[in-house]
Amino acid sequence: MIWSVIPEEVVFKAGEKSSDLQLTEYLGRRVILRQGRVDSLLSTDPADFLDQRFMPGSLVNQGQ
Amino acid sequence: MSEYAHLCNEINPDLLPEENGDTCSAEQENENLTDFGQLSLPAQQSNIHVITIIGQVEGHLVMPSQNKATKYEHIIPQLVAVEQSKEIEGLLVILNTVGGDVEAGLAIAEIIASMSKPTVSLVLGGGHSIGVPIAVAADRSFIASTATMTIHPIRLTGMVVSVQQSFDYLERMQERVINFVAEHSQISAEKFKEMMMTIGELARDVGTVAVGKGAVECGLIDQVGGLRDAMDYLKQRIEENRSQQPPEKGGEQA
Repeated sequence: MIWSVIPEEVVFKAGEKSSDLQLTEYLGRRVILRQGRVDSLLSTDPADFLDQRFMPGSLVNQGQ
Repeated sequence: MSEYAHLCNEINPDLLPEENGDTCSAEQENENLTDFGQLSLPAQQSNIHVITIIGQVEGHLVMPSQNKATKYEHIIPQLVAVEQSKEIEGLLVILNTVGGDVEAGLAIAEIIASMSKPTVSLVLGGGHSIGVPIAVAADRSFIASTATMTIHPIRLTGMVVSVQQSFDYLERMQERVINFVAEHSQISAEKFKEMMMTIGELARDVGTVAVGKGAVECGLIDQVGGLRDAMDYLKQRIEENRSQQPPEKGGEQA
């Protein structure tokens, strides 16, 4: 059940192509990748967000 | 990895031990500065962790990709990890959410409320609908003076079997939220329900928009403030916890 200020027809608007986001583990942190680059970082440690390797747009070395 | 070896990083030296030592010379740091215009930041370990609840709170249904969403399967393990960690002493929850799944939101709120570590919430921008119970779940809640919280009734949309049970179910869902908010804030269940049903404030719904100070005056949020106030409160609580802890046993044996 959705309780939101955004109308439900907007939330569940059809026609969007499936997302190209990919959740993965990188350097011990969970990151969401988009086409091999960091899209967002899932971490609670604020220090991780200062780490250049996790900056949005950073290229990810998949071997890690 | 050799391709990236020149990207000397000192933020988390223990993260990649093989990258430190001989690969991180002053010369390479200079190269980094020349190539990227960036300096490595000094190492820091944070004892206060932060969780952001942004966009929609996504629960049982996957939302289409045009939604910015906070997924509860990401947030809940993080909250458990924060509770278990010996290094983390406090948690800051930052909210800028438009609402979302009722049960996912309540699950997050219940975990925050039941944590043993000091917790603080800070509403920035908006903390609407299911953002309200998450905001009040923390030990102390703060709201930026410009932030808003929309309180409106829960709706059933789509194909609904129009029987008494549907209405009762909806009523019970709403009661769950109202009771949680009343238990974890200074507002009474009656007052919160009244705010939900106010007319004339929202264009296409009944309800109330509480802005900054207004959310504090009605008892929903504890204080108008920002990051400094939230951090000051957390630091104060952390100090109290440290002073209450018994001295280390190792010292007595020596």
